[in-house]
Amino acid sequence: MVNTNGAAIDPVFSEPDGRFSFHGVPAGTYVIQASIDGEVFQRNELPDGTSLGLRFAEAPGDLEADFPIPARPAIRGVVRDEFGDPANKVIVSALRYWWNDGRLNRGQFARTISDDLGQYRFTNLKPGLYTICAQTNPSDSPGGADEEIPAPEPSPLADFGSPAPIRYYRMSCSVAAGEPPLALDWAQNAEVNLKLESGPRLTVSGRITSGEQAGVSLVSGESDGGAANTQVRPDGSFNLAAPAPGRYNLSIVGFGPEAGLFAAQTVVIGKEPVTGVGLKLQPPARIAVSIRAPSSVLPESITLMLRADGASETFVAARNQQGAYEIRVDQPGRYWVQTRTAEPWCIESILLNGAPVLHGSVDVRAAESSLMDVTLSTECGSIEGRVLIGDPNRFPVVHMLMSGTPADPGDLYKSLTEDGSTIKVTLLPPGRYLIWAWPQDLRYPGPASLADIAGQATVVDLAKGQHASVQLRLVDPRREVK
Amino acid sequence: MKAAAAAIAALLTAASLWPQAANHEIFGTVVDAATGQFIAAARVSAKAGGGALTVIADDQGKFRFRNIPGERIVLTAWKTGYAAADGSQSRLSESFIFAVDEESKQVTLQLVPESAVEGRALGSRGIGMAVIRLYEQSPDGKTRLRETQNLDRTGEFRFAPLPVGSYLLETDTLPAQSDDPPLYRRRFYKSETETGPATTIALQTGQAVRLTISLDEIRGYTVSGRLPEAPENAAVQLLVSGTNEVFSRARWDTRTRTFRFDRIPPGSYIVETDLSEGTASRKYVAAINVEDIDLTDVRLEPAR
Repeated sequence: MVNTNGAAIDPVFSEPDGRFSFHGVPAGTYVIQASIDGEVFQRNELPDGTSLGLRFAEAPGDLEADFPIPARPAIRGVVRDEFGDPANKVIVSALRYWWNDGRLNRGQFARTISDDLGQYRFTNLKPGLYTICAQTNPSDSPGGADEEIPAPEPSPLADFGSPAPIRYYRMSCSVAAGEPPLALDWAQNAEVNLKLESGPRLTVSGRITSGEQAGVSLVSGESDGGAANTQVRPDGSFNLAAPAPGRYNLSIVGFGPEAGLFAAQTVVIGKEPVTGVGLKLQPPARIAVSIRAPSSVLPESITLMLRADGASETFVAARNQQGAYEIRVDQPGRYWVQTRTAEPWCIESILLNGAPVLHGSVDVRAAESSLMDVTLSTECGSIEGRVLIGDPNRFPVVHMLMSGTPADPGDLYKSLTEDGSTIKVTLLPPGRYLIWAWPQDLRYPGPASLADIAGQATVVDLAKGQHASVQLRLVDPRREVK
Repeated sequence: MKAAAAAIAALLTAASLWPQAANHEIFGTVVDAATGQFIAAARVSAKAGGGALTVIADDQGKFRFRNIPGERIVLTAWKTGYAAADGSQSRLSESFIFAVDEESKQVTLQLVPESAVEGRALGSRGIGMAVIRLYEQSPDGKTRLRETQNLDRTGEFRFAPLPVGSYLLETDTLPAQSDDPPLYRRRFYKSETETGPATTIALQTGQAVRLTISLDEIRGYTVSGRLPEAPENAAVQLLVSGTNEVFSRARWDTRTRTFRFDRIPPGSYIVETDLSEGTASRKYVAAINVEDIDLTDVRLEPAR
C-alpha cells in the first residue's frame, strides 16, 4: 500500500489461497499494488474489472477487496528454415504496435534467441497487437558478420564455378505487410511458428555524382529498426544491405571537403536488390523566418518546425550565426508545418513565398532559399471538448488534426483528458479541426488509419479568436471503415 | 574390384556433366560419430576464396563442392539433434588444405548426438529472479559452465548442446534488481528421494536429462552497520564469499554514517567499502555469516 505522499506501508505476502491483510492502517488515501514474479502491476495497465488501484479516503476500518491478478499474455513457437529444420540461435523479436502520428507504428517490445530446437518464448508481454519476426544472427556465422552463411540449396552439390544465385536469410515476420497483426489479451497465450525466408541479398547500390567523402545510411521507414551504415568508396559508389523488404530512407552526409552537403532519397525495396541509385550532394535548403506580431515577442514563445511526411525527422527554426531565424532542411521532400506557441500568442497565418501553408504541407528542394512569413496574434481560439461516454479509470486520449487530412495527417495534436472526460486546447489559429477520442486501452492502440474513422470525427470550424465547446463521442473501433 | 571400377566410372561420368574442373573439388559424408551411420539432410557450408555456398547433404549424408577457388576451404556442418567437437558446439567447422597436385579431396565430417540437461523450476509463488547454474564436475572439482538468465514464469530451462560428462545444477536468487522478488535458497539440486550430497547428473551421448526442480523460497535478513569514517559518498557493497560477485549495494546514510542491506539470504558474505583517495588506501571489510537473524552492528576493519 502506498499513500498519496508516496510513503509505503510494509508489504505483506499473500497466503497460499491468495488472502492478505494489512493491519493498523492510518487514515489516508492509498493505492494498493500487487506484484507477482517480482513484477509490480501498474494501475494504468490493468484489465477492466480489476479493483487494483483502489483508493479510500477515510480510515477504512475492516475493508475487503478482491485483487484479481491477470497472467500476462505469452507467445511461443518454433523457428524453422525453409526446408523445415529448426533454426538455432535466431534472433526473435516481438514487435508491438502503438499509435502515433495518425498511424499504427510497430517497435521491438521484447527480444530473445531461439534455442537448439528452434524454440522461443515471450512470457512477459502486455496486451496489444503483435508481430513476431525472426532474423538470423550474422555474427553467429563461423566467419563473423562479414561472412554470413548463405541459405542452403536443396541439393547436395554446389559449384563455385557456376553457383546458383546465392540466397541469404532475411527478416521473416508472422504478419505480412498490410495484414492484421496478432491481438493478445490478458492471460492469452499464442503459438506462432515462423519459417525463415531467403532470397538474394537485398542491397541498395549507387553512387554520389559529386565528391567522394560521405557517410551513407539506410534507415527503415517503419520504426522497427533496420538500419545500415557505410561510407562511399573513393570512386563515389556505395552498397548497403537491408534486412527486409520495405520503405527506407537513404541519406548521405558529406564530410571533409564535402562537409555541409547532403543528399537523401526514399528507397522502396521489394524482393530484388535496388541498383543504380544516383544522388548529388547539395547544400541544405534554407528557409528564412520572419515573425510579425502586434508587440515584441520573446523567442521562446514560439516553436516552429517542419516535420517530414510520415517520418519522425524534424527541422526546427533556430537563430543562425547572423542572429536571424531560419529553418535549415538537410533533406529535400514534403514537410508539414508544426507550431506551438506560449501565452498570449497564437499563429494567425504562415506564408511560404507568399502561399498559405499553416494547415498544409510544403515541398522543400535542395539548396533552395525561401521566405516564411509568420504572423502572430493575441486573438486566439480554443476548443473545449467533453467526452460523452467516459470511464474515469480509463482516461480517454484525444487526437486533434491540426493540418492535413485523415488519410494524410500532418500535425496531429494529442492530449490526455484532464479528469477522465474533458480537454481544453488553447492558443489555436483559425481553421478546421477534426477531433477523435478513444480510451487508453492496451488492446486497442488506435485505428490503422484516421481515414477509417473519419466519419466518427467531431468537426470544428474555428474562427479567429473563437471559443468552441464540443461534445466528443468515443470512437467505436467496430465502426472503422476498412 | 568390379564394384570399385564401377564406382570410379560413375564418378568420371558424373564429373563430365560439370564444367571442366579448373580448381579443386571436395566431397564427403556427414556421419554420426557414435554409430558411424550417415546423417541425412545435414547442412554443409563451404567457404573458399571469399565466397560461401551451402548445400543439404543427401539421404546418404553425402555432399560435394566443385571448382573451389584456392587451396584452402572451410567446411561447416550442422544438423538439429547433433553437436560438434566434444558435444559443446552446435556447428562443426574444419579447415582443409589441398596439397600441390591434389585436385580432389574426400572427407568425413563427424557430428555427435546432442546431449542436454533441461527441465522446469517450480516456486511457491512464481519464479521471479531465479537463476539456475550448471557446473561440470571432474575429479579436480567443479567448474561453473553456464547459467540461465533470469528464468521466466514458466520456469523452463535447457542447457544444450553439452558434452557427455558429470554435472551439478545449482538454484539461486539472482542479485536483486527489482523491489520485491522472492528469495531462493542457494543450493545444489537433489532429487526428491535422495538425501545427502547433491545429485550428480551423468549425461550420456544423445541423452536429454529432464528434471523438475523445487525452488526453496526463504526469507532475507537485514545487514547494517556504521562506517569508521564519514565520507561524502560511500559505495558499500556485499560480495558473495569466495567470489568477486556483487550481491547487493547498500543504502547509505551520510548523516548517520550507516549502511544497510535488505533481504539478504543466508550465506557467507564480505561487506566492503573502498574510500581510497590518491595513494592513501582506506579500504574496509568485514566477513559476515547471515544465518537466521538480522545483523545490525557490522563493524568494518581496515583491509590488510
